Amino acid sequence: MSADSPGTKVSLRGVTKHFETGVGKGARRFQAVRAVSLDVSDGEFLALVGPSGCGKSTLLNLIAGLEKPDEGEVFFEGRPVRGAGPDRLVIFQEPGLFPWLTVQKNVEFGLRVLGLDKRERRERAARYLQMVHLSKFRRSLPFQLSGGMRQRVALARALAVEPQVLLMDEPFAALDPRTRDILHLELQNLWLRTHKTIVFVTHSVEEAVRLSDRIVVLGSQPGRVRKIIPVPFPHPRDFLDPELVELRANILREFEEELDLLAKKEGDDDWHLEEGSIRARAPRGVAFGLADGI
Amino acid sequence: MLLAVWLLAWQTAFELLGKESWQFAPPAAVFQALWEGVADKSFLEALWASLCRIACGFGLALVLGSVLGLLLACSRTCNWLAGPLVLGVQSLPSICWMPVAVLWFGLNERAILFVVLMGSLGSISMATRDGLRQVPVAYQRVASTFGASLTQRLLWVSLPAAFPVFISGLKQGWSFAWRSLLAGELLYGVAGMGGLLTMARDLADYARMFAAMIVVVSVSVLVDRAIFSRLEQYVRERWGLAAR
Repeated sequence: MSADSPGTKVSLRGVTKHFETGVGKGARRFQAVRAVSLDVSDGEFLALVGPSGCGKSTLLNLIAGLEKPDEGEVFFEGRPVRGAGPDRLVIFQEPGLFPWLTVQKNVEFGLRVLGLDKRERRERAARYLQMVHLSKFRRSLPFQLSGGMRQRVALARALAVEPQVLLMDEPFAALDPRTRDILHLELQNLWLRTHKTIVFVTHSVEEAVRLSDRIVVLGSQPGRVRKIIPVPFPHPRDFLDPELVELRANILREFEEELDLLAKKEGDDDWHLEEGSIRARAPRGVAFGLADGI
Repeated sequence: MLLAVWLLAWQTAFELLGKESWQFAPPAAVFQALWEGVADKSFLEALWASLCRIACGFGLALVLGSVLGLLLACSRTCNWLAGPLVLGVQSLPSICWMPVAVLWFGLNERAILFVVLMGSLGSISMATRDGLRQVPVAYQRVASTFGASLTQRLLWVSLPAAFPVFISGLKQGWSFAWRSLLAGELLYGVAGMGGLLTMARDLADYARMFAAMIVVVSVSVLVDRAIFSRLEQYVRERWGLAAR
Protein backbone atom coordinates (compact mmCIF):
# COMPACT_ATOMS: atom_id res chain seq x y z
CA MET A 1 0.00 0.00 0.00
CA SER A 2 2.78 2.40 -0.68
CA ALA A 3 2.10 5.61 -2.47
CA ASP A 4 4.76 6.98 -4.66
CA SER A 5 3.51 8.78 -7.64
CA PRO A 6 6.47 10.89 -8.67
CA GLY A 7 6.62 14.27 -7.02
CA THR A 8 4.79 13.14 -3.91
CA LYS A 9 6.74 14.11 -0.83
CA VAL A 10 4.48 13.00 1.98
CA SER A 11 1.48 10.76 1.89
CA LEU A 12 -0.88 9.56 4.55
CA ARG A 13 -2.85 6.38 3.92
CA GLY A 14 -5.86 5.63 6.09
CA VAL A 15 -4.24 7.10 9.15
CA THR A 16 -6.11 6.76 12.44
CA LYS A 17 -4.89 7.92 15.82
CA HIS A 18 -6.41 7.56 19.30
CA PHE A 19 -5.54 9.40 22.45
CA GLU A 20 -6.29 8.85 26.10
CA THR A 21 -7.59 11.75 28.10
CA GLY A 22 -7.68 12.01 31.85
CA VAL A 23 -6.14 9.61 34.30
CA GLY A 24 -7.29 6.59 36.28
CA LYS A 25 -10.95 5.66 36.09
CA GLY A 26 -11.95 8.86 34.32
CA ALA A 27 -9.63 8.09 31.42
CA ARG A 28 -11.34 8.10 28.07
CA ARG A 29 -10.12 7.08 24.69
CA PHE A 30 -11.00 9.33 21.81
CA GLN A 31 -10.24 9.35 18.16
CA ALA A 32 -8.10 12.32 17.19
CA VAL A 33 -8.04 11.50 13.48
CA ARG A 34 -9.88 8.83 11.58
CA ALA A 35 -8.89 7.31 8.26
CA VAL A 36 -7.14 10.33 6.83
CA SER A 37 -5.55 9.96 3.41
CA LEU A 38 -3.64 12.86 1.98
CA ASP A 39 -0.80 13.57 -0.44
CA VAL A 40 1.60 16.49 -0.26
CA SER A 41 3.57 17.18 -3.43
CA ASP A 42 7.18 18.22 -3.61
CA GLY A 43 7.55 21.96 -3.14
CA GLU A 44 3.90 22.43 -2.24
CA PHE A 45 2.65 24.80 0.42
CA LEU A 46 -0.23 22.96 2.03
CA ALA A 47 -2.39 24.37 4.79
CA LEU A 48 -4.34 22.25 7.26
CA VAL A 49 -7.24 24.27 8.60
CA GLY A 50 -9.95 23.36 11.03
CA PRO A 51 -11.60 24.09 14.36
CA SER A 52 -9.89 23.08 17.59
CA GLY A 53 -10.02 19.37 18.18
CA CYS A 54 -9.89 18.47 14.49
CA GLY A 55 -6.55 16.74 14.95
CA LYS A 56 -4.53 19.07 12.75
CA SER A 57 -1.56 19.11 15.11
CA THR A 58 -1.83 15.36 15.43
CA LEU A 59 -1.53 14.99 11.65
CA LEU A 60 1.57 17.15 11.72
CA ASN A 61 3.15 15.13 14.53
CA LEU A 62 2.38 11.94 12.61
CA ILE A 63 4.20 13.27 9.54
CA ALA A 64 7.07 14.42 11.76
CA GLY A 65 7.28 10.97 13.30
CA LEU A 66 6.74 12.36 16.79
CA GLU A 67 3.60 10.18 17.02
CA LYS A 68 2.86 6.78 15.59
CA PRO A 69 -0.43 6.06 13.83
CA ASP A 70 -2.67 3.36 15.34
CA GLU A 71 -3.81 2.34 11.88
CA GLY A 72 -2.64 3.22 8.41
CA GLU A 73 0.77 4.45 7.42
CA VAL A 74 2.61 7.71 6.82
CA PHE A 75 5.07 7.78 3.92
CA PHE A 76 7.90 10.20 3.34
CA GLU A 77 9.43 10.03 -0.13
CA GLY A 78 7.79 6.64 -0.56
CA ARG A 79 9.23 5.13 2.61
CA PRO A 80 7.21 4.59 5.77
CA VAL A 81 7.99 7.06 8.55
CA ARG A 82 9.67 5.38 11.53
CA GLY A 83 10.48 8.26 13.84
CA ALA A 84 11.50 11.89 13.89
CA GLY A 85 14.38 13.21 11.85
CA PRO A 86 15.91 16.41 10.55
CA ASP A 87 14.44 15.85 7.09
CA ARG A 88 10.98 16.69 8.46
CA LEU A 89 11.30 19.53 10.92
CA VAL A 90 8.52 20.90 13.07
CA ILE A 91 8.22 24.56 14.01
CA PHE A 92 5.99 24.92 17.03
CA GLN A 93 3.82 27.75 18.21
CA GLU A 94 6.30 28.28 21.02
CA PRO A 95 9.67 29.00 19.40
CA GLY A 96 11.41 26.90 22.07
CA LEU A 97 14.72 28.71 21.81
CA PHE A 98 17.21 27.64 24.46
CA PRO A 99 17.68 30.57 26.84
CA TRP A 100 21.25 29.62 27.70
CA LEU A 101 22.44 29.90 24.09
CA THR A 102 22.95 32.96 21.94
CA VAL A 103 20.90 33.36 18.78
CA GLN A 104 23.80 32.05 16.72
CA LYS A 105 24.26 28.98 18.94
CA ASN A 106 20.54 28.31 18.86
CA VAL A 107 20.62 28.22 15.08
CA GLU A 108 23.62 25.90 15.27
CA PHE A 109 21.74 23.43 17.50
CA GLY A 110 20.44 21.20 14.71
CA LEU A 111 23.82 21.31 12.99
CA ARG A 112 25.50 20.10 16.16
CA VAL A 113 23.02 17.23 16.31
CA LEU A 114 24.02 16.41 12.72
CA GLY A 115 27.66 16.47 13.77
CA LEU A 116 28.92 19.23 11.49
CA ASP A 117 32.23 20.80 12.40
CA LYS A 118 32.50 24.24 13.93
CA ARG A 119 33.37 26.13 10.78
CA GLU A 120 30.54 24.75 8.74
CA ARG A 121 28.12 25.28 11.60
CA ARG A 122 29.08 28.92 11.83
CA GLU A 123 28.88 29.44 8.13
CA ARG A 124 25.47 27.88 7.76
CA ALA A 125 24.05 29.59 10.82
CA ALA A 126 25.25 32.92 9.46
CA ARG A 127 23.66 32.19 6.09
CA TYR A 128 20.26 31.33 7.52
CA LEU A 129 20.30 34.13 10.06
CA GLN A 130 20.83 36.46 7.15
CA MET A 131 17.89 34.85 5.37
CA VAL A 132 15.58 35.79 8.25
CA HIS A 133 17.29 39.20 8.51
CA LEU A 134 18.65 38.73 12.02
CA SER A 135 22.41 38.80 11.42
CA LYS A 136 22.69 41.83 13.64
CA PHE A 137 21.32 39.88 16.58
CA ARG A 138 23.48 36.78 16.35
CA ARG A 139 25.13 37.50 19.69
CA SER A 140 21.88 38.36 21.47
CA LEU A 141 20.18 36.09 23.95
CA PRO A 142 16.62 34.90 23.27
CA PHE A 143 15.06 36.97 26.04
CA GLN A 144 16.34 40.13 24.39
CA LEU A 145 14.27 39.48 21.25
CA SER A 146 10.60 40.15 20.53
CA GLY A 147 8.17 37.29 19.93
CA GLY A 148 8.33 37.67 16.18
CA MET A 149 12.12 37.73 16.16
CA ARG A 150 12.22 34.60 18.29
CA GLN A 151 10.01 32.79 15.83
CA ARG A 152 12.29 33.91 12.99
CA VAL A 153 15.28 32.49 14.87
CA ALA A 154 13.34 29.24 15.24
CA LEU A 155 12.71 29.34 11.50
CA ALA A 156 16.42 29.87 10.79
CA ARG A 157 17.28 27.05 13.17
CA ALA A 158 14.94 24.74 11.26
CA LEU A 159 16.06 25.84 7.80
CA ALA A 160 19.73 25.52 8.73
CA VAL A 161 19.57 21.73 8.74
CA GLU A 162 18.07 21.98 5.24
CA PRO A 163 15.04 19.78 5.80
CA GLN A 164 13.00 18.32 2.96
CA VAL A 165 9.73 19.25 4.60
CA LEU A 166 8.90 22.05 6.98
CA LEU A 167 6.01 21.28 9.32
CA MET A 168 4.63 24.41 10.91
CA ASP A 169 2.25 24.04 13.85
CA GLU A 170 0.40 27.35 14.23
CA PRO A 171 3.74 29.13 14.28
CA PHE A 172 2.35 32.65 14.27
CA ALA A 173 -0.72 32.14 16.44
CA ALA A 174 0.80 33.76 19.50
CA LEU A 175 1.95 36.91 17.69
CA ASP A 176 0.19 40.22 17.25
CA PRO A 177 -1.47 40.83 13.85
CA ARG A 178 1.15 43.28 12.59
CA THR A 179 4.06 41.00 13.36
CA ARG A 180 2.11 38.15 11.81
CA ASP A 181 1.68 40.13 8.59
CA ILE A 182 5.42 40.71 8.39
CA LEU A 183 6.15 37.05 9.02
CA HIS A 184 3.63 36.03 6.36
CA LEU A 185 5.55 38.09 3.83
CA GLU A 186 8.84 36.75 5.05
CA LEU A 187 7.68 33.14 4.97
CA GLN A 188 6.29 33.63 1.47
CA ASN A 189 9.66 34.99 0.32
CA LEU A 190 11.53 32.18 2.01
CA TRP A 191 9.32 29.63 0.38
CA LEU A 192 9.73 31.23 -3.05
CA ARG A 193 13.48 31.18 -2.59
CA THR A 194 13.92 27.68 -1.18
CA HIS A 195 10.82 25.91 -2.50
CA LYS A 196 10.63 23.68 0.48
CA THR A 197 7.60 21.52 0.96
CA ILE A 198 5.61 23.14 3.74
CA VAL A 199 2.70 21.76 5.71
CA PHE A 200 1.21 24.60 7.67
CA VAL A 201 -1.32 24.05 10.45
CA THR A 202 -3.50 26.98 11.38
CA HIS A 203 -6.93 27.86 12.66
CA SER A 204 -6.84 31.07 10.64
CA VAL A 205 -8.44 30.83 7.22
CA GLU A 206 -6.88 34.15 6.34
CA GLU A 207 -3.40 32.80 6.95
CA ALA A 208 -4.11 29.70 4.88
CA VAL A 209 -5.49 31.68 1.93
CA ARG A 210 -2.56 34.06 1.94
CA LEU A 211 0.17 31.47 1.98
CA SER A 212 -0.86 28.09 0.69
CA ASP A 213 -1.41 26.37 -2.67
CA ARG A 214 -4.02 24.04 -1.25
CA ILE A 215 -6.17 24.19 1.85
CA VAL A 216 -7.23 20.99 3.51
CA VAL A 217 -10.34 21.70 5.56
CA LEU A 218 -10.61 19.27 8.44
CA GLY A 219 -13.75 18.30 10.30
CA SER A 220 -13.61 17.57 13.98
CA GLN A 221 -14.25 14.71 16.36
CA PRO A 222 -12.83 12.64 14.90
CA GLY A 223 -10.54 14.64 12.65
CA ARG A 224 -11.09 13.85 9.00
CA VAL A 225 -10.64 15.55 5.67
CA ARG A 226 -13.81 17.42 4.79
CA LYS A 227 -12.73 19.28 1.74
CA ILE A 228 -9.63 20.20 -0.22
CA ILE A 229 -9.68 23.69 -1.69
CA PRO A 230 -7.05 24.79 -4.20
CA VAL A 231 -5.79 28.36 -3.94
CA PRO A 232 -4.95 29.02 -7.58
CA PHE A 233 -3.32 32.43 -7.23
CA PRO A 234 0.34 32.83 -8.16
CA HIS A 235 3.02 33.82 -5.66
CA PRO A 236 4.08 36.35 -4.50
CA ARG A 237 0.60 37.35 -3.54
CA ASP A 238 -0.97 40.64 -2.73
CA PHE A 239 -2.74 39.86 0.53
CA LEU A 240 -5.43 42.44 -0.23
CA ASP A 241 -6.32 40.96 -3.61
CA PRO A 242 -10.17 40.91 -3.78
CA GLU A 243 -10.16 37.37 -5.14
CA LEU A 244 -8.18 36.23 -2.13
CA VAL A 245 -10.54 38.00 0.21
CA GLU A 246 -13.54 36.45 -1.48
CA LEU A 247 -12.10 32.96 -1.26
CA ARG A 248 -11.56 33.52 2.44
CA ALA A 249 -15.16 34.62 2.90
CA ASN A 250 -16.42 31.54 1.08
CA ILE A 251 -14.40 29.18 3.19
CA LEU A 252 -15.47 30.94 6.37
CA ARG A 253 -19.10 30.50 5.40
CA GLU A 254 -18.57 26.79 5.09
CA PHE A 255 -16.80 26.72 8.39
CA GLU A 256 -19.70 28.34 10.09
CA GLU A 257 -21.88 25.36 9.26
CA GLU A 258 -19.27 23.07 10.71
CA LEU A 259 -19.15 25.19 13.81
CA ASP A 260 -22.90 25.19 14.27
CA LEU A 261 -22.83 21.45 13.95
CA LEU A 262 -20.06 21.21 16.47
CA ALA A 263 -21.88 23.43 18.94
CA LYS A 264 -25.00 21.28 18.68
CA LYS A 265 -23.07 18.09 19.00
CA GLU A 266 -21.27 19.35 22.03
CA GLY A 267 -24.44 20.63 23.66
CA ASP A 268 -24.81 17.39 25.57
CA ASP A 269 -21.31 17.43 26.83
CA ASP A 270 -20.98 19.42 30.06
CA TRP A 271 -17.39 20.37 29.54
CA HIS A 272 -17.84 21.83 26.12
CA LEU A 273 -21.22 23.43 26.74
CA GLU A 274 -19.87 26.75 27.92
CA GLU A 275 -17.36 27.17 25.16
CA GLY A 276 -19.97 26.21 22.57
CA SER A 277 -22.58 28.62 23.82
CA ILE A 278 -20.15 31.52 23.93
CA ARG A 279 -19.23 30.94 20.33
CA ALA A 280 -22.83 30.38 19.31
CA ARG A 281 -23.80 33.72 20.80
CA ALA A 282 -21.11 35.57 18.88
CA PRO A 283 -22.45 37.44 15.84
CA ARG A 284 -22.28 35.62 12.53
CA GLY A 285 -19.07 36.20 10.70
CA VAL A 286 -16.90 36.65 13.74
CA ALA A 287 -17.82 33.25 15.06
CA PHE A 288 -14.78 31.64 13.61
CA GLY A 289 -12.52 34.62 13.73
CA LEU A 290 -12.33 34.90 17.48
CA ALA A 291 -8.64 34.32 17.54
CA ASP A 292 -7.53 35.48 14.13
CA GLY A 293 -8.77 39.01 14.05
CA ILE A 294 -10.79 38.55 10.87
CA MET B 1 26.59 51.10 58.65
CA LEU B 2 24.51 48.04 59.36
CA LEU B 3 27.49 46.60 61.16
CA ALA B 4 27.78 49.74 63.31
CA VAL B 5 24.12 49.53 64.34
CA TRP B 6 24.48 45.92 65.41
CA LEU B 7 27.72 46.59 67.24
CA LEU B 8 26.04 49.41 69.12
CA ALA B 9 23.12 47.16 70.02
CA TRP B 10 25.53 44.51 71.19
CA GLN B 11 27.49 46.95 73.34
CA THR B 12 24.27 48.34 74.83
CA ALA B 13 22.99 44.87 75.60
CA PHE B 14 26.25 44.08 77.28
CA GLU B 15 26.08 47.26 79.38
CA LEU B 16 22.51 46.61 80.43
CA LEU B 17 22.46 42.88 80.97
CA GLY B 18 25.79 41.24 80.96
CA LYS B 19 28.25 43.53 82.63
CA GLU B 20 28.51 41.47 85.78
CA SER B 21 28.18 38.23 83.97
CA TRP B 22 31.08 36.12 82.78
CA GLN B 23 28.78 34.46 80.23
CA PHE B 24 28.65 37.42 77.96
CA ALA B 25 31.49 39.12 76.11
CA PRO B 26 31.60 42.74 74.94
CA PRO B 27 32.41 43.46 71.28
CA ALA B 28 35.84 44.83 72.10
CA ALA B 29 36.90 41.63 73.86
CA VAL B 30 35.54 39.50 71.04
CA PHE B 31 37.40 41.47 68.39
CA GLN B 32 40.48 41.35 70.54
CA ALA B 33 40.15 37.56 70.62
CA LEU B 34 39.50 37.51 66.89
CA TRP B 35 42.64 39.52 66.26
CA GLU B 36 44.71 37.31 68.55
CA GLY B 37 43.34 34.22 66.88
CA VAL B 38 44.34 35.52 63.49
CA ALA B 39 47.69 36.79 64.72
CA ASP B 40 48.79 33.51 66.32
CA LYS B 41 47.41 31.69 63.25
CA SER B 42 45.27 29.36 65.37
CA PHE B 43 42.09 30.61 63.66
CA LEU B 44 43.64 30.38 60.22
CA GLU B 45 44.86 26.84 60.80
CA ALA B 46 41.46 25.76 62.12
CA LEU B 47 39.69 27.46 59.25
CA TRP B 48 41.99 25.83 56.73
CA ALA B 49 41.35 22.39 58.24
CA SER B 50 37.59 22.98 58.08
CA LEU B 51 37.73 24.28 54.54
CA CYS B 52 39.74 21.27 53.36
CA ARG B 53 37.26 18.98 54.99
CA ILE B 54 34.25 20.67 53.46
CA ALA B 55 35.88 20.78 50.06
CA CYS B 56 36.22 17.00 50.22
CA GLY B 57 32.80 16.37 51.70
CA PHE B 58 30.92 18.80 49.52
CA GLY B 59 32.85 17.74 46.42
CA LEU B 60 31.89 14.16 47.09
CA ALA B 61 28.25 15.19 47.65
CA LEU B 62 28.34 17.15 44.42
CA VAL B 63 29.44 14.16 42.38
CA LEU B 64 27.32 11.53 44.13
CA GLY B 65 24.30 13.81 44.43
CA SER B 66 24.35 14.67 40.73
CA VAL B 67 24.67 11.04 39.73
CA LEU B 68 21.94 9.97 42.14
CA GLY B 69 19.67 12.77 40.94
CA LEU B 70 20.30 11.79 37.34
CA LEU B 71 19.39 8.19 38.10
CA LEU B 72 16.24 9.24 39.94
CA ALA B 73 15.22 11.48 37.04
CA CYS B 74 15.94 8.96 34.30
CA SER B 75 14.65 5.76 35.79
CA ARG B 76 11.16 5.45 37.12
CA THR B 77 12.12 2.31 39.02
CA CYS B 78 15.03 4.08 40.72
CA ASN B 79 12.79 6.95 41.67
CA TRP B 80 10.11 4.64 43.00
CA LEU B 81 12.66 2.75 45.04
CA ALA B 82 14.88 5.52 46.32
CA GLY B 83 13.01 8.82 45.83
CA PRO B 84 10.96 8.76 49.05
CA LEU B 85 13.96 7.40 50.94
CA VAL B 86 16.20 10.29 49.89
CA LEU B 87 13.47 12.75 50.71
CA GLY B 88 12.88 11.13 54.12
CA VAL B 89 16.56 10.98 55.00
CA GLN B 90 16.83 14.65 54.08
CA SER B 91 14.56 15.51 57.00
CA LEU B 92 16.99 13.83 59.39
CA PRO B 93 19.56 16.27 60.83
CA SER B 94 22.75 14.94 59.36
CA ILE B 95 24.54 14.85 62.72
CA CYS B 96 22.28 11.90 63.54
CA TRP B 97 24.51 9.98 61.16
CA MET B 98 27.47 10.53 63.45
CA PRO B 99 26.99 7.41 65.60
CA VAL B 100 26.58 5.30 62.49
CA ALA B 101 29.58 6.95 60.88
CA VAL B 102 31.73 6.23 63.91
CA LEU B 103 30.52 2.66 63.88
CA TRP B 104 31.44 2.26 60.22
CA PHE B 105 34.58 4.35 59.88
CA GLY B 106 35.81 4.82 63.43
CA LEU B 107 36.30 8.18 65.08
CA ASN B 108 38.27 9.86 62.35
CA GLU B 109 38.27 12.22 59.42
CA ARG B 110 36.17 9.88 57.30
CA ALA B 111 33.33 9.83 59.83
CA ILE B 112 33.04 13.61 59.64
CA LEU B 113 33.22 13.54 55.84
CA PHE B 114 30.39 11.06 55.86
CA VAL B 115 28.26 13.37 57.98
CA VAL B 116 28.99 16.27 55.64
CA LEU B 117 28.11 14.10 52.66
CA MET B 118 24.82 13.01 54.19
CA GLY B 119 24.04 16.61 55.04
CA SER B 120 24.17 17.88 51.48
CA LEU B 121 23.54 14.79 49.37
CA GLY B 122 19.77 15.09 49.73
CA SER B 123 19.44 18.69 48.54
CA ILE B 124 21.78 18.17 45.61
CA SER B 125 20.21 14.96 44.35
CA MET B 126 16.65 16.25 44.80
CA ALA B 127 17.52 19.46 42.95
CA THR B 128 19.15 17.52 40.12
CA ARG B 129 16.13 15.26 39.82
CA ASP B 130 13.57 18.05 39.97
CA GLY B 131 15.53 20.24 37.59
CA LEU B 132 15.69 17.45 35.03
CA ARG B 133 12.03 16.63 35.48
CA GLN B 134 10.98 20.22 34.95
CA VAL B 135 12.68 20.67 31.59
CA PRO B 136 10.03 22.55 29.58
CA VAL B 137 8.16 20.44 27.04
CA ALA B 138 8.95 23.02 24.35
CA TYR B 139 12.70 22.24 24.61
CA GLN B 140 12.10 18.51 24.57
CA ARG B 141 9.97 18.77 21.45
CA VAL B 142 12.66 20.79 19.71
CA ALA B 143 15.22 18.13 20.63
CA SER B 144 12.88 15.44 19.28
CA THR B 145 12.16 17.08 15.97
CA PHE B 146 15.86 17.58 15.29
CA GLY B 147 16.32 13.88 15.96
CA ALA B 148 18.72 14.37 18.87
CA SER B 149 20.07 11.16 20.39
CA LEU B 150 19.64 10.42 24.07
CA THR B 151 23.12 11.61 24.95
CA GLN B 152 22.79 14.77 22.87
CA ARG B 153 19.44 15.48 24.47
CA LEU B 154 20.85 15.03 27.95
CA LEU B 155 24.03 17.04 27.41
CA TRP B 156 22.72 19.84 25.25
CA VAL B 157 19.13 20.25 26.39
CA SER B 158 18.19 18.60 29.69
CA LEU B 159 21.28 19.39 31.75
CA PRO B 160 21.54 23.07 30.78
CA ALA B 161 17.79 23.45 31.20
CA ALA B 162 18.02 21.93 34.68
CA PHE B 163 20.89 24.20 35.67
CA PRO B 164 18.92 26.95 37.51
CA VAL B 165 17.20 24.43 39.79
CA PHE B 166 20.49 22.59 40.25
CA ILE B 167 22.20 25.80 41.41
CA SER B 168 19.60 26.48 44.06
CA GLY B 169 20.08 22.90 45.26
CA LEU B 170 23.84 23.48 45.46
CA LYS B 171 23.29 26.63 47.45
CA GLN B 172 21.11 24.81 49.93
CA GLY B 173 23.45 21.83 49.96
CA TRP B 174 26.38 24.09 50.77
CA SER B 175 24.72 25.58 53.83
CA PHE B 176 23.67 22.11 55.01
CA ALA B 177 27.19 20.81 54.47
CA TRP B 178 28.75 23.65 56.45
CA ARG B 179 26.32 23.09 59.31
CA SER B 180 26.95 19.36 59.32
CA LEU B 181 30.68 19.89 59.29
CA LEU B 182 30.57 22.16 62.31
CA ALA B 183 28.27 19.85 64.17
CA GLY B 184 30.60 16.96 63.47
CA GLU B 185 33.72 18.86 64.48
CA LEU B 186 32.03 20.25 67.55
CA LEU B 187 30.91 16.88 68.75
CA TYR B 188 34.28 15.24 68.36
CA GLY B 189 36.55 18.21 68.90
CA VAL B 190 38.95 17.59 66.05
CA ALA B 191 41.07 20.37 64.58
CA GLY B 192 38.88 22.84 62.76
CA MET B 193 36.44 25.60 63.54
CA GLY B 194 34.15 23.23 65.45
CA GLY B 195 37.10 21.97 67.48
CA LEU B 196 38.14 25.52 68.17
CA LEU B 197 34.71 26.29 69.56
CA THR B 198 34.75 23.28 71.85
CA MET B 199 38.20 24.12 73.06
CA ALA B 200 37.25 27.73 73.81
CA ARG B 201 34.24 26.54 75.75
CA ASP B 202 36.32 24.08 77.74
CA LEU B 203 38.77 26.85 78.62
CA ALA B 204 35.89 29.21 79.44
CA ASP B 205 37.31 31.66 76.89
CA TYR B 206 33.99 33.13 75.85
CA ALA B 207 35.36 35.99 73.82
CA ARG B 208 37.26 33.48 71.69
CA MET B 209 34.12 31.38 71.38
CA PHE B 210 32.12 34.29 70.00
CA ALA B 211 34.99 35.24 67.74
CA ALA B 212 35.03 31.72 66.29
CA MET B 213 31.26 31.94 65.71
CA ILE B 214 31.75 35.19 63.81
CA VAL B 215 34.32 33.49 61.60
CA VAL B 216 31.99 30.56 60.92
CA VAL B 217 29.13 32.79 59.88
CA SER B 218 31.36 35.06 57.80
CA VAL B 219 32.86 32.16 55.87
CA SER B 220 29.45 30.72 55.12
CA VAL B 221 28.19 34.06 53.82
CA LEU B 222 31.38 34.76 51.87
CA VAL B 223 31.38 31.42 50.08
CA ASP B 224 27.72 31.83 49.24
CA ARG B 225 28.33 35.32 47.87
CA ALA B 226 31.48 34.40 45.99
CA ILE B 227 30.20 31.21 44.38
CA PHE B 228 26.56 30.28 44.66
CA SER B 229 24.83 33.64 44.62
CA ARG B 230 27.09 34.70 41.78
CA LEU B 231 26.17 31.61 39.77
CA GLU B 232 22.52 32.23 40.49
CA GLN B 233 22.83 35.81 39.35
CA TYR B 234 24.59 34.72 36.17
CA VAL B 235 21.82 32.27 35.36
CA ARG B 236 19.15 34.86 36.07
CA GLU B 237 20.76 37.35 33.73
CA ARG B 238 21.44 34.82 31.01
CA TRP B 239 17.92 33.42 31.12
CA GLY B 240 16.50 36.93 31.13
CA LEU B 241 14.80 36.47 34.49
CA ALA B 242 16.47 39.50 36.05
CA ALA B 243 15.36 41.83 33.29
CA ARG B 244 11.79 41.84 34.49
